[in-house]
Amino acid sequence: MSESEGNARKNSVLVVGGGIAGIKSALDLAEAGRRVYLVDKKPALGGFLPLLDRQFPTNDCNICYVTPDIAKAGAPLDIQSLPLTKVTGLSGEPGDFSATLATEPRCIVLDKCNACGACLEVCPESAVRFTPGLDHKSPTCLRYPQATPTAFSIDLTKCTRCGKCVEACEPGAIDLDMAASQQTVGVGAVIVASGAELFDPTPMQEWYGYGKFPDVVTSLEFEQIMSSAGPTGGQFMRPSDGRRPQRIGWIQCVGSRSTKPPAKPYCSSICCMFAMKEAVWAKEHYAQDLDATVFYMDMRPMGKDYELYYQRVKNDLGVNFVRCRPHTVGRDDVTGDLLLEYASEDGSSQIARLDLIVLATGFCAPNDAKEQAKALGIELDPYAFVAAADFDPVATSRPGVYACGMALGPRDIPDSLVQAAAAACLASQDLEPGGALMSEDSLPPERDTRDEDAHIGVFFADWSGRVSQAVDLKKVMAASANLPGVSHVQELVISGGQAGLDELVEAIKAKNLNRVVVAGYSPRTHGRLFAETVRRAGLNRNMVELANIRDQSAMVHSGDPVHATSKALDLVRMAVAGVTLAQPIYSHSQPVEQSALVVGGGVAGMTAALALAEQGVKVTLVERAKQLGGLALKLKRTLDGQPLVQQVQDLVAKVQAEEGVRVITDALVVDHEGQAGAFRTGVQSGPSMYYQKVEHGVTILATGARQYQPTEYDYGKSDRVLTQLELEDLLAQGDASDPRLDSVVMIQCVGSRNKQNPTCGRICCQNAVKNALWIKDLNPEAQVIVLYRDMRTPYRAEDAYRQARERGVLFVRFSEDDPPSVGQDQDGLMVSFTDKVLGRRLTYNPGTIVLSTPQVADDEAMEELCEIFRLQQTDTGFLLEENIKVRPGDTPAPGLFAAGSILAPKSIAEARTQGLAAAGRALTLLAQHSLTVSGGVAKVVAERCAACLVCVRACPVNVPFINADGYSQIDPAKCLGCGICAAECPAKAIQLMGYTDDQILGRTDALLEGVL
Amino acid sequence: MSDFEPIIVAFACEYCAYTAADMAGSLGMSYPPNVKIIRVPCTGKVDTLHLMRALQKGADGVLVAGCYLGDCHYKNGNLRAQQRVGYVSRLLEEIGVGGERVMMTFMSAGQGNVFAQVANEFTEKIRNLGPNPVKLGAGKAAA
Amino acid sequence: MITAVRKPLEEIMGFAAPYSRVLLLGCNECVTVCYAGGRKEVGILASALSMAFLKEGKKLDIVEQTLERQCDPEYVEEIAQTIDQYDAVFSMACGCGVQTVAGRYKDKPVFPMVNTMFMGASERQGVWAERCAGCGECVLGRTGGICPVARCSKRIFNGPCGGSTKGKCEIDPGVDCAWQLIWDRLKALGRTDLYSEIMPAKDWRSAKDGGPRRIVREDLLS
Repeated sequence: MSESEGNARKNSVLVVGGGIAGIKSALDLAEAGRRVYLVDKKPALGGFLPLLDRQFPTNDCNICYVTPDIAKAGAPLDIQSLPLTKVTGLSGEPGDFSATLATEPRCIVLDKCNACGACLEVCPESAVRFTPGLDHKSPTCLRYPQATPTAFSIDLTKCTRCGKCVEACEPGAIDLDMAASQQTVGVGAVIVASGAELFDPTPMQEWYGYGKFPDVVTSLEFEQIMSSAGPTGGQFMRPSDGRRPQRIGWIQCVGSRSTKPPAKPYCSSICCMFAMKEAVWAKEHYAQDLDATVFYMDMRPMGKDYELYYQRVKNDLGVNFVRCRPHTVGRDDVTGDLLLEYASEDGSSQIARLDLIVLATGFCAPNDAKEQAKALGIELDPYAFVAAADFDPVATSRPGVYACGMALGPRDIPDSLVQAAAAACLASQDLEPGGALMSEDSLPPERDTRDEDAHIGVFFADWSGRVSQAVDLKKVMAASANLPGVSHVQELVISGGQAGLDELVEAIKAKNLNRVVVAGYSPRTHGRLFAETVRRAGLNRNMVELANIRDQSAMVHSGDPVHATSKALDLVRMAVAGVTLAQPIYSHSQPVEQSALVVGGGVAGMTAALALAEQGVKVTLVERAKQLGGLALKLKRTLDGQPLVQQVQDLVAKVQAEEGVRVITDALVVDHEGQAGAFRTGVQSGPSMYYQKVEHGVTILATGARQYQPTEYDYGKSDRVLTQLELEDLLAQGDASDPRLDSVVMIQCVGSRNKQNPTCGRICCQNAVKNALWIKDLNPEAQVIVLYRDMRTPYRAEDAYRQARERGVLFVRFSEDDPPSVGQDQDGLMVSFTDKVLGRRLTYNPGTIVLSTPQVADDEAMEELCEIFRLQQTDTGFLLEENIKVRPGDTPAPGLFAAGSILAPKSIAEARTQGLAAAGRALTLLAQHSLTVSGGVAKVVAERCAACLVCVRACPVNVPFINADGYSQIDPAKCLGCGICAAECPAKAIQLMGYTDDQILGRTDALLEGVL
Repeated sequence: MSDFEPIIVAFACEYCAYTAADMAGSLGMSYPPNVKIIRVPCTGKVDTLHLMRALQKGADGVLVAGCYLGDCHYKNGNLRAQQRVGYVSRLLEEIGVGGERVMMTFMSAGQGNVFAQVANEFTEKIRNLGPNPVKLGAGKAAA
Repeated sequence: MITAVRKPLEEIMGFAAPYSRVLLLGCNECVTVCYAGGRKEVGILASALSMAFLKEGKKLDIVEQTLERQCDPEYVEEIAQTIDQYDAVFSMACGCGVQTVAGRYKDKPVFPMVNTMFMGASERQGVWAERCAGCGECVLGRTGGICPVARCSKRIFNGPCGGSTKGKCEIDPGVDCAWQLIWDRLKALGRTDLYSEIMPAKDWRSAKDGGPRRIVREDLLS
């Protein structure tokens, strides 16, 4: 991007793809004050995630954690979502692109559609589409607020214009003449998050029987069989005869890791975890005695602590694992059993009898990937996913266009989310600097109405005309006027625009109202809008309550006007009682220091520091060693085989030259205090341990890990037993005639996947393949043997693995209980190992033995760091994040983010991504300039508190504590506002603001007034 | 009492049941108007006292509707609510008001049909149980 | 902490039968923590009682109030101004509180709403277990911090007895044998020598057997 373009830069970003990655990028950008166009070719947003019942490894459904707590956030997010839309062209340059968008006609006017589904029922051609999510009986999965509520659309390619749907549609929402539309939007950057498609196993029917035998299902279909909200309503049954399956088999790598089309040669990365999750979930929730077996080639649980999950599933939860390549599925016509034939590891042919077979299908690029890439002007990899390099892992071939999630190849949710945050960070660098959210200053001062008598205005809004069809609004309005405290009743006309809202503001001022009830909307969808509106009129945001007479009366009692009317009045009466007792909720704001502290000067830390500095954030970068670079200084090539040394040196030089980054080397963090926006951290540096205080708004921890120093396999005793890092040194010298490289035996999982360190090193397999190929490059005649337990080469690393095999690298598997041994014999260095096929032990005299060691947590440093920053380590010593699945780079402490191998073993590409992601997450916080701490939280009445610890124990996020004065204290910045503590407190010393006991009882009392 | 129309208070979690009720609304799935919803951030916020007070004031039935177990936005608020409902049920039994007048139910946000169905079934059940005896007694006390 | 559980409603209703206006008095100390008589339990009982009577066509007026502690006269004094409005006081405090209230307001009937149970500790949320019997002569220093008086069914001082099987007490397989616990803990501490010492017979006069007890601190008297 050229500097002269500064003025013309846009403040908006185009995000292509509305799955979890696209949504995450959009949210991060919008939270940082950017405008986002979120387009998706499908009729509704959401991607794959809404289809899943549970997510590994926690087996929770926690999608709602991804979405921001809008009720708490400061200002509205500027995201325009455009379903049924594709990008058809992109011109211009970073900072000033012009994108053309083509929107298919939905043929349904969303403002009118009430999602009744009548059109779907009457259409003879199945031309009405709807995206059901997991909840088949509802128009869409509403487990998360970003779902387009009415996702119906009409597929004109199938429609015969018979007109039946138009007739059936009561609100007249169908417009078959709706035209396709084109528009051009100006954006500063583009993020491609167009995801992947599930591999369809139908063409492989002759092997797996999918489509032939009803009891062969895909993993996604199985997910729905298990869901309590799924098609069988929580009944665990197999499709053919409704019988409860007793024996279930999962076949891994269906459509992946095979060079026979239509299967794909690469590894789809996440199917192993997916299958294990399903097996465990089925066992735990439906049948302890279920016989669950996973038929696999290599188990590849490679995410953080996934290996622990695998071990638990295998050893404690009783799921069987059979290493094999299954080839044919048949059916016993007498019993109905499925027969799975497979070749076991010793080469013998076996048959398994099963009730249900689940195909762990992989992922492939969307079928329009090439068309889209052409429109965007970006390059694809050979598998039609977006191409990117290890050192710039979320950048595409076109500057200003970034990619994340499965658009870059199959990956799991945490990886997708980290990439999404990273892409958002890079995209914002192309935009007009420092977009900021609307501040509180532009609003009128808030009136203190606590001592005033209630002057309540009740406003009725029948925006769809539906309310008055069932409810006698005149009658309800007249009765409302007589309710205690009500001094004004008015009908509002709100139709999409601002006018009706302005009317409300005017009425509040003119009639001197201090409390407001709006009848006609759900607080779920409109609560925030009206809270902001009354705030514009100078009232506290909590001084409005919505009576949901539309959804809770008119719509559900349309055939019973008398009761619909009396219930509407009940609802208004309850709302009036509730708002009468409402207390102002004050959110206080504090300025956010526009600066960051980055702890750790490795690749992740440096990347984060630079990304922040480029956005004008002042950064202090603290590094323990005397020089920047971290573990990467020892690496010579990235996992994709590209040279690394120069890139790391350039990165170091760039950080040192960057004015906005102050580097303190030879330094340690010694203390830390404050909160998000205003931290103070003490740093000691240099030989004299000079102490200084750093003030900063956000913190990024990137202190990395250390490489495990082996004690196994004679390491240290023989100079010909090396680690992979030492081998890389040797390879970098480029001496093909070095006899040590003539024959090399690599041993995998040294110092990992064992009792001392049960985790998987994640990248050691890829690293071994990389170095094996490097040896072959130097000396094609060299003999290379890799002794491994499971080869874990995700996505295109599988290509390298296959290439290594094709070039003569031997891969020999060993089991944990029968490891290789290393020693000396008369011929020198000796290694012996068991060959599974031959069934006996072989001995070999290599030139070099290379140990693949993992990154492990630097325990001592981590303990200290965690104590200083009040964070937690996982069992394996790495940093514990906020949520392993959906907040992978956030810590539980607001304003504190983490990146790189402090979290788990990481490659250079991942360290780069995480550095950018952490910077991006930090930028969303910094963009707020002042942080509002919402008051809709639990509050302790100190003099009532008996310090009984009940709240401390009950809180889902461990916020309350008994303070030095001996009573419970709840930090409003951390409280989630669930109210569990308030309900448990035996002294009734806790109130949840916005839902005080007075208010809840007030509503009940209002409803039951006059009953006794 | 053939013209008995029960009054039912439903405490609904905004993450699931409240949304499900909205869904029932936008789908126009009818359920008896007897059910009146009070929104809570989590059923874990529903205090034993709230349940007791509603019945004391003359509600004929109280429904607590939360997310499926395991789906709680706040880990286990729904489980706690379920335990409290059990406690209140036993207490009501002890004083002869009838433990069946309180019920915990679970659903997901998208299940407008489940909300409508539960509302129907619970209203029917309470209709068969007859009016809250407190209400009848109050009539006598006043007389 | 002193633990208690609410009395059965039937018994409480028996107390309430003659009255039409009562003060339901909670205590913000031990009984709050063990969910027997804090502000919340006061509310629940008030609701239940009022329903139980109303159902029978009788209106019982229940006024709820919770004192910081019912076992201290100054706190009990807080209801002096209003006590005349009530026919009776229903105290949700432990026996100590009930007696302090009854002692102060001699002409007012005072009824206990809870059965006071024991001095116990919280094992986890919702579970309390007996830990101290107030015997007046603590031996925990010799028994590895496990009390043979409160936790051994027989209160023996040189256990276990023959009823100890697999670490459980013969009275109930759900009850740990205190002496097994003592032995395990002493072993872990490397102090099995303490176990070998025979403990002399206890003089139970320091406990309840010596009649009602009191503590007098001369230096604190005023």
